[in-house]
Amino acid sequence: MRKHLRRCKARVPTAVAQSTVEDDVTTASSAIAIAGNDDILSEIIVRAPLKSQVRFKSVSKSWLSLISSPGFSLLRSSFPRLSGLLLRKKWPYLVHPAPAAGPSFEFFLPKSSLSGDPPLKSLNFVPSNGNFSGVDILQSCNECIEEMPVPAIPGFRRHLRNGKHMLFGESDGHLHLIAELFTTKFQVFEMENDYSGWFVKYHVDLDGFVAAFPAVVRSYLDPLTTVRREYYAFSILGVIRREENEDESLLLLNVPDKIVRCYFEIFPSLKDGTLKELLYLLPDDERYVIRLSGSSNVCGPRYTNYNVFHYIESLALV
Amino acid sequence: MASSIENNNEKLTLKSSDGEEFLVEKHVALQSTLLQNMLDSDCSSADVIPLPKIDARTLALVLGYCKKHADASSSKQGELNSFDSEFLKDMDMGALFNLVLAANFMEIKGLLDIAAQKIADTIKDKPHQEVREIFHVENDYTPEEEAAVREENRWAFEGFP
Repeated sequence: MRKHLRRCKARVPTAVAQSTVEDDVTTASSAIAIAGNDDILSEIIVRAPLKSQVRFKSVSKSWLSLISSPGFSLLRSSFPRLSGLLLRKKWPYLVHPAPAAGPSFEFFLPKSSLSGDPPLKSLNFVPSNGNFSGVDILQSCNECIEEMPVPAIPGFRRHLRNGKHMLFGESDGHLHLIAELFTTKFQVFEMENDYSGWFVKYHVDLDGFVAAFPAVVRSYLDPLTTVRREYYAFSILGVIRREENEDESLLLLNVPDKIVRCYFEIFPSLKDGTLKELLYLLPDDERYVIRLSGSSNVCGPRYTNYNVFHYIESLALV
Repeated sequence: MASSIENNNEKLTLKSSDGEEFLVEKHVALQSTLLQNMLDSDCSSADVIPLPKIDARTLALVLGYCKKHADASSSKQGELNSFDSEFLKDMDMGALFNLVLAANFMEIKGLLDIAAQKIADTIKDKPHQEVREIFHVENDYTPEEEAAVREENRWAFEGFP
């Protein structure tokens, strides 16, 4: 503490109007008292948006070391974090010519009231070396990679593969696996905090959703059998958890032109105290529906027009 | 805790750094964890509790906050929120600094929260050079070091001098 006090010397104003000298000196001494107290200073800086925090590293060396310290990270983690999704539109395979610019990511903030303005509206990458996505993995740390068991689903033998019938994600410090059981039935697994295994966090049953949103029911003519087949034009984008307030945890569904937020209804535990039953939805309620800009085509039995990436706020240098 | 309920009408006297005395109802004073601990451990046998770090102007503000929050029932959160934002509305940086220091010293969590948030909101869009001046922090970077830190975090400086 003493070290900081020494660094933060006062710049007492030298040429000020007589009447305000006293005020300025008290303000200066309070400012110095605050700047010399890491605890109070942290309480102030941590309440600024992440981008400002990063900028404030340039204030002085002691601010840099404060903002980079483990204690500050710990304090940060006790505040609600911005949890958003970056959505990248998939390009239809047959579009010619391919667009000149790289695909852009649309930023999507599930709960806009949380901390003011969204940090970004969209994200663009410049294509490099013919890499269409414009994204390269610069480095990864093998030491950190450990194999995790795929959860066993009782009474169900389908081989789980990421992408098709399974979706992997992270939210608010929790790892999730969303596994499709049947077309409208899903289970959301969550990794135990000690990484020892998965447990069922939510049951998702979208029959009621489909009934309330008839637009998602589509059909196509099977070219081989000439039978008309029905399918549902929705896909699950992910689960957003709120540790602080479980009522705000939600499931995001992509239906044609829209993203729908579905809140979980938490029932008292069923069997082992961990099981929570999802139930839907407040369909067609504008508050819960986000309309997407531009139109999108439904182009297959599984309606997935977006690649979804979680937006994670971090002070880490990458 | 039981004693605080029994003696609800009891008052105590707080003395600011500049010698002004404030008569405070006990349930208002209990908003401060510092005072609560003092009262619980019966340190308050002295008639006057000196607060040598807090001037009268700041102490009056702090006690105004405590009174509002002690008197309002917990169900009136909305009313308290609008009181809080009105309370801080036209406060200058010096007053906010004093308030944060007082809230920290007297351990009044809610007041620390809102005052720190207000300061953060005021400085968040200011260039770091200006933040330096507000907090009277001396720039101990060499120009090269400062440029390097800035370069490392270039994305956060878009639109800043």
